[in-house]
Amino acid sequence: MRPNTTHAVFSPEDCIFEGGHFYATSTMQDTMFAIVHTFIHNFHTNTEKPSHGLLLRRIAWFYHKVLVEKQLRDDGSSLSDPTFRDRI
Amino acid sequence: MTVRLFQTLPSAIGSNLSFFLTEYDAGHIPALDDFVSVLDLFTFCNLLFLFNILDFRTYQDAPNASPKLRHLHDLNAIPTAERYQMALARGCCFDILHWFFTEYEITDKATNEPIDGFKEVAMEYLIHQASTILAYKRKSLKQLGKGKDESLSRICSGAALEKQINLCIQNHKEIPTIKILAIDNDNHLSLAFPDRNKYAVRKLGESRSHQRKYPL
Repeated sequence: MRPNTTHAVFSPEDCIFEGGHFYATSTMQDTMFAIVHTFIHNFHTNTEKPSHGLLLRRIAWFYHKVLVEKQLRDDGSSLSDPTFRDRI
Repeated sequence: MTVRLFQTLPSAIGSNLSFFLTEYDAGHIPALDDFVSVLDLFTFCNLLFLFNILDFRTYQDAPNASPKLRHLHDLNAIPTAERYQMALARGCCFDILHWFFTEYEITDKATNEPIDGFKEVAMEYLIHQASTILAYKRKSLKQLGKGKDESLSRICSGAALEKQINLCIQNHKEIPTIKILAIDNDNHLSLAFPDRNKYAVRKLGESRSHQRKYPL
């Protein structure tokens, strides 16, 4: 499901759900619009205490590593820097 | 990107398929081959710049802090360590923007001439989104009516939001001194980039990119 899509979960009987969220680079504009809507109208997502700040900071770190520092190997994987990632 | 995917697929299958499927890092990088992809990157940077403004804890009191300290240092419910981490992430985003304009240039489609993309596109977009968030909040509070739903205004009033936006935008050495725009027509609020068909993106040649000053 794309970001900024209103959704709800129903089940025919009591049950435990498991799911999650992720951020995609290609839908980042919708992601921002959704976060603004959530803030302005005090909505809540169906994930308890989403750690989106941490995830977004790690994406910033990743973009910086790959784009600015050019730490991308020929096989498409990037070099990790656990020291820096711990700080961010 | 698709070509690279299939180029690396055989060797990845041979070594570790699960690693390939979950850790193909290059697939997560913005393509930057058209203006929409560039807007994805700029939007991401704007989101990080404005992230603390959009965090409810910014408007909650810091525990165990005197009112004087709260006012002087804008102390709030976000832990100090997390605020430092977010400041570091904002620095990464400014770094990414400056990198972008050493490698690419934005051109006006009408004239095919390059423009000052950092100021006229990236920073204007940031100012546009900050202004829209403020106008959106004011419109939301106005529609609710005074006293009908105090929970929203108690969490974050329009004045508190404006103060935080000014703290973030104004007097920042990287951001040109552009005033937050007063949006009069609040019936057509949009966070999207106003005219995405007006500009195009062009990769600079290696010799030209090296002539650009990288400020950080």
